Amino acid sequence: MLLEVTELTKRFGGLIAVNAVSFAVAEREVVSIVGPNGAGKTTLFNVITGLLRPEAGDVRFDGRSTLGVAPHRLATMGMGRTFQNIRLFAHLNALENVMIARTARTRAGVLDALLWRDRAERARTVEQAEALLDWVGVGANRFRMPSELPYGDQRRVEIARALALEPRLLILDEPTAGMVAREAHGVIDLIGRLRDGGMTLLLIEHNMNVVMAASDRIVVINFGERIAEGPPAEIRADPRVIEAYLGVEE
Amino acid sequence: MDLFLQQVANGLVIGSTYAVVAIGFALAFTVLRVINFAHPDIFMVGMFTGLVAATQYPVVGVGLVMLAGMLGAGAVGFVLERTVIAPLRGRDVLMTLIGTLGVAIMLQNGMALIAGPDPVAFPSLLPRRSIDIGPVALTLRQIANFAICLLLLALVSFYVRGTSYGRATRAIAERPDVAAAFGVNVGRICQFTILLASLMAGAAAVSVGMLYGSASAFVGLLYGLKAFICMLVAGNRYFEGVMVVAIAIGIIEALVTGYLSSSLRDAVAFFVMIGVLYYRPNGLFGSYSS
Repeated sequence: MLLEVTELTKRFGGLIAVNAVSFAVAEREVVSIVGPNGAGKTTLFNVITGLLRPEAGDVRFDGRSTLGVAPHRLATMGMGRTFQNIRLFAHLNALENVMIARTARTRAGVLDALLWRDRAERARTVEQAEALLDWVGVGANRFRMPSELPYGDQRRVEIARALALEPRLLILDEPTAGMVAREAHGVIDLIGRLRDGGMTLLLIEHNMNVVMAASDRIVVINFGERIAEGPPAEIRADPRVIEAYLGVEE
Repeated sequence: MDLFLQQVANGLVIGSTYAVVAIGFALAFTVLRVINFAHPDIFMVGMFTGLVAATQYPVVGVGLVMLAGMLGAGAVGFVLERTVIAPLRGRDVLMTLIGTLGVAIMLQNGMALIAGPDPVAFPSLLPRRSIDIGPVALTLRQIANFAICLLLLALVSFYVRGTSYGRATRAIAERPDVAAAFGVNVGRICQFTILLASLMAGAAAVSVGMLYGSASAFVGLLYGLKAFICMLVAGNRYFEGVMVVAIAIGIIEALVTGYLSSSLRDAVAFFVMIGVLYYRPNGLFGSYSS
C-alpha cells in the first residue's frame, strides 16, 4: 500500500473532527474521499499532508510514518497536492509557479547559480515545467501571472505544479470547487488523463458526480467517521450513504 | 551647475551604501517577516573586523580586508539567525523585533567596551587620489565604494530574479507554508537570506570605513534608521524599488548639504518618509502583501 491511514483521530477541544478513520491507497489506484460539508474531509486531508498532528492513529506513506515529518520532506518523499482554494504564488508567473516544485531537485548550489555554471540544469528545469504546462493545457499562457488566468486554468497550473514534484501520490482537494460546469468538465477530463497515465490519486470531493466516473474506490465519511467504502456502483446503492449524503443533497 | 553635478555624484556614492544596508533589511522583512534591528550592527561588526584585518595585517590589501569584514558580519548574522531569529520566526513580529533589538544593543555596547565609545581611525588602504570626470571630482575611495555597492546590488537582484533559490525566496515571501508543501526547505532558505544580507553589509561596511576614514561602535544607528526609512518609502514589493529610493535619498541629502545646510542632512530622509507615506501608505512601489 502506498498510503495507509490507520485509526486516525483528530480532536479540536471537545469536537471529534476525525474519529478512528482507516483506509488505504494502493499504487496506481484512484481513491476518493467523499462526505457532506463538515464531515471532516478537510481535517483528514490536513492530517495526511502533515499540517495537523492527530491525537491517535498513524499515516504511513510508502511504509514510513509521516507524523512529525517536515512538510517539505513529505513533498520530496513524493506527496503532491492541490488546494481547495487555489494557492498559487501571486507574484510568480505560471511557469515560475511550476518551477518552484523543482527547487528541491536542483543540484547546483547558490555559487553555481550566481556564476551561471548551472545553465544546463536551468534549461532542463524550464523545459520540464513548460512540458507540464503544455500537458495541462496552459502552455500558451505560461508567462501570465495567476490572477490573469481564468479560474479553471489556475487549477491546471496548480496540478502542473504538483506534478513537477514527480509525486508518487497526487492528492486533489475538491479540484472542481467553485467552477462553472465547463471548467469542471475540463478538470475532470484532466483527472481521467492522470489516471490513464498511471498516477495514484487521492481525491477529496464534495460533489458525488465528480468521483463516480473517476474512482476505483470511494470512502464515505460523515461526522468524522467512515460510514462506507467500496467501488462506485456499490456506494451509489448503499442506503447509509444515500441517507447521510445523497438523500440530503437531492 | 558644477556644484549640482558634484553633489549628485556624492549622493550616488553614499546612496548606494544606504541601498546595500536597506536591501538587507528588506530581505529579512519581506522573506522572513522579521524586522532585523541587529542588521545595522552586523554592518558595524563587519567594519571592525575589517579594521582589525587592515591594522594588524596591513599588507593584506583591500580585497582581503573586505573579506574579513564579510566574514565578521556573516558570522554574527549566522549566529543571530540560529539563536534568535529561527526560534522566533513565524510568531508575532514583535518577538523578533525585540529579540534583534536586544542583540543590537549587545553588539553596540560590546564593541564600545572593546574599541571604546569614540570613533577610531580606519586606514584608507587605497591611494588618496581624486579623479576628474568632466566637472565632477571623485576620490578613488568614493568610486570604489560606488562600484562595490553597485556590484552587490546587482548580485542580489540577479540572485532573487534569476536563480532557483531566488525564486524559492520570492515564493516564501508570499506563502511559506505552500512553498514547503512543494519541497522548498523554508528554514534553509531563510537562514541563507540572513547570511546573504550580513555578508553584503560586511562588504559595504569596510567600503564605508575606508570612505570616511573612521569606524565607530555606534555607526549602525544612522545607517539602520536610513535603511528602515528607505524600505518604508519604497514599500517592499520590489527589492529594486528599495535600491532606487535609497540612492535617491542619498542624492537628496547631498543636495541639501550642498545648497542648504549639512545640519539639515539627516532630517531629509524623515521629511521624504512623511511626505511619501502621507500619499502612499504602502510605499511608492507598493508592499508585498497588498
